[in-house]
Order: sequence, then C-alpha cells, then structure tokens
Amino acid sequence: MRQSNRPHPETWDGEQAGALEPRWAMTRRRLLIGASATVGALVVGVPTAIELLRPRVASTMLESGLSDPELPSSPLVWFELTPAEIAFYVPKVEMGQGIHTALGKVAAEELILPLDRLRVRQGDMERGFAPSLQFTFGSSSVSSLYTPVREAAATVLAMLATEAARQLGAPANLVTADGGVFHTPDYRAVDYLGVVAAHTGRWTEPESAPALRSAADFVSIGARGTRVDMRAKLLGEAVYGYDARLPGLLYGAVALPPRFGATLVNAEAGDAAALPGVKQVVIDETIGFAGVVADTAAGPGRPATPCGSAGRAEPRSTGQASRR
Amino acid sequence: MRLNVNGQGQVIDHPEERLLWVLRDELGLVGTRYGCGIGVCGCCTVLIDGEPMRSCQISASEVGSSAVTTLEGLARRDSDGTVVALHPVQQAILETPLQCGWCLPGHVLTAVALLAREPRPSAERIAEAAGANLCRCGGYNTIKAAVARAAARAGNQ
Repeated sequence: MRQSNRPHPETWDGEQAGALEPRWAMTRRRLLIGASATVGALVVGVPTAIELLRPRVASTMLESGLSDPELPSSPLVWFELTPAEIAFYVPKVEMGQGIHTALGKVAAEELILPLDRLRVRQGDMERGFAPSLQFTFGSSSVSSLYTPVREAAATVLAMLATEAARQLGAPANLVTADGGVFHTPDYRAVDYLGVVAAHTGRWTEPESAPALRSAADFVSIGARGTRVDMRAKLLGEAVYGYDARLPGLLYGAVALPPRFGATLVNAEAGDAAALPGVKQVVIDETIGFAGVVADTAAGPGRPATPCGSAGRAEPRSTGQASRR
Repeated sequence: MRLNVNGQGQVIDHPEERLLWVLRDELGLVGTRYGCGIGVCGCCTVLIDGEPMRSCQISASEVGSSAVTTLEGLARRDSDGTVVALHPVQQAILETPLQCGWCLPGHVLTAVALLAREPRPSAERIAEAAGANLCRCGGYNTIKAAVARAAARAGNQ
C-alpha cells in the first residue's frame, strides 16, 4: 500500500486537519477503506466502478488500477467518521429535489442512527468526487444510489460494531446498535463517536457482506420529517454554487440586449480596460458578445443587469442592440 | 460608510454599490440572494427599518443609518452567535420546508414584516404578501400555511 499522491485534503475535520494521512485499501467487496493509522477516523468510500449508469467512468477507474490503493479518483458514496461527527457525502447536487434528505434517510436506516445525527454533505472535489457525477437526470439519483448507499452504510456499521465489541470486551454477536449507541447485554454502552475516538490502528472490514435491514424495520424512510438542508438555508448559512468564492476568483459581466431576440450590433471598450480591477474586456461582434472580466465583484466588475447598463466598466453598446 | 446590519455597525467600502452586493460580497451575507436584479422577483428582499425592500434596487448610501435585517439576523442567538431559537416564521418553514430555497429569504423576511405589522393577518393578507415574491418551485401553499401557523403560534404566546 502506498500513500495517495493527492494533496492533503484540509477539510477532513477542522480539529484534525493535517493529522489524517489517508491510505486506501480496496476490500474484497470493492469498498475503499481509509486505512489510516491515525487515531479517530474511519472513511469508507464506494468507487464509481459499481455504478451501472456510468460505465465509462467505471472503466477509467478500472484502468487506473484498483489493486493499487489510492484515494478513489471518483467515489460514489463517501462516509467519514471522526470523533466529532458522522458525515455522509452525497455525490449528487441538491437543488430542491430532496436527494440529500432521501439518501440521508437511506444511510441513517442502515447505520441505525437518527437522521439528525448524520451530517449530510455535498460530495466535493476535495474528496475526489468527479464533477461529471454530480449532475442529476431522469429522477434516477435515489434509485441508482439506494443499494450502494445501503451496502456502504451497513459496512460502516459492521466495522463500528466489531470495534465496539472489542472496546467493550463483549462478544460481537451480543452487541446491539440503537440510536447511535452500541449496547451489551450487561448494560454497558458506547456511542458511535466514542468508538471512533477510542479506535487505534487499522479498521477491520467485515468477512462477508453485512445483511441489509428489512424495510419493515425502517423508521425514517416513509416517515414525515424535515429536510436535512433546510435549517442552513433558513439561517442563510447554506452555500449554493452561486455563493462559492475561490482564491483568485474573477468576475465576469456580459452586456445583454434589452429584449429577447435582439443581438448586439457593435460595442466599444471605451476606457473600460483602464478602470481599477478590470482584467480584460472581451468584444466579439461576430458573435454579438461583449463582456468584461474584473478581479472584484463590487465596482467595475459588477455582474450586469439584464439590460447591461449598470456596470461602470461595461463596454458601451454604441450601436445598441437591434432586432434580428 | 457605516452600515447597520443585523444590529451591528459595519464599515463598507462601496457605498454607491447596490445594497445586495454590499451584503453578499463585502459582508459575506450570502443569505440575501440575487434573483432578477430588476426588483421583480423578491429574492433579494431585506428589511430596512422593518419594511421589506428589494436590496437590488437601492444603494448602500441610500440606506444610510437605517437598520438592515437579513435572513442571518432573524434567529435569536446567544453571545457566541449560536442559534438559541429560530424566528417563528423560520421554524414554521423548517417544519414544512420549501424545495430549493432560493426565494426563501424574500418570503421569510416579507412574512416577518407582515406579522410585525399585523400579528393576526387574514389568509388573504398572507397570500397578498407572499404574492410579492416569486417561487419557481411553486411553494405558495406551503408558504401560506407556514406563515399562518407562525402567526397562530405567536398569538398563543
């Protein structure tokens, strides 16, 4: 096994950034287990190879050599357990469809964990999620991920349970899980986060595929509940794609004609390029395009209003737009 | 200039910029959203001295010393900033959520202003207020029911 060549991810866990060295083991069941020797972390990923809807991505994964453990180039499902939280990274974007809530429920059922104790997060490129996986289509996200999420979550629970039994000094077959806590028949207990915190060394993967739970035992699926993303949205804390800010981000403003069907006839840069913060003025009359790129959102680079008249640095449409 | 946002004085660098962009890009309050930019959709609604206003239509300098309230400023928080309690309108929508939530800031702040003016609004008044904000997911029945529930709860307290 060798260490991943990827830059060290800084978003594993605020407290542990820098402490976690991801190493990856491909299990017999084709799960990726983060085999870090660091105390207090368990990462389980399911590679895209098992996603039937994406054969091309899968073949790329296979060609890259699954026997050579590396951070998955594009995981499908991702669980990250630290002493602070149990996080489930969903590969699909949430735009109101309810995918994060639905798949969060699926994971919570197999983890035997209340949904409000599972942090459901957007799968990000830090964790190797491919942008091509994140888009959604054909109402297929929940149906295609239902089984992979269950299998991965069940594996996570089995690994936790084995470790909990070891820590409690109880036979594994007598340890039961309920509400995020493992119990022994003699009333000793440890919660999931406690198991992760007390764990050292490598995690032991289950010998065989853990049995999935019966739908009759589900408590979250089929029951009314709130959306996992709604509280953050109500507090203004949610980060939509539009809210993302990256280092060195540039802002573009495009001059648009004042009505549908109109096209730009001509435009002049004027003194736009000389204004503070302006990086580039782009005018291509052959395709009816005029825009400006600036290094700040405020001031000259302000995204244009639909009529393209707001930004000070916007190219002036001297000929205005005319109907085709 | 100084801007009074959610009870705190903030120094801003672009007073002539529209309030929406000052909030989002200078102050990082991304809970206020850009929808249409022409004052129609209501996604950018904030409260100015308690009145709902389209933040894309006014400059920060026009706000002056008036109190600006955004979505981030509604919940009751302790001294560390940890949320102690959601505003009744936030709580009601949490229970019966919207879908994408893009229009949500405008709907929530419009409803907060309505309930402040009229603690027991009629269904017609609630619908009228909600109608000022566009919701492309079509969540109006959910919003109207949530606002009515928030009003009923506030009345019981």
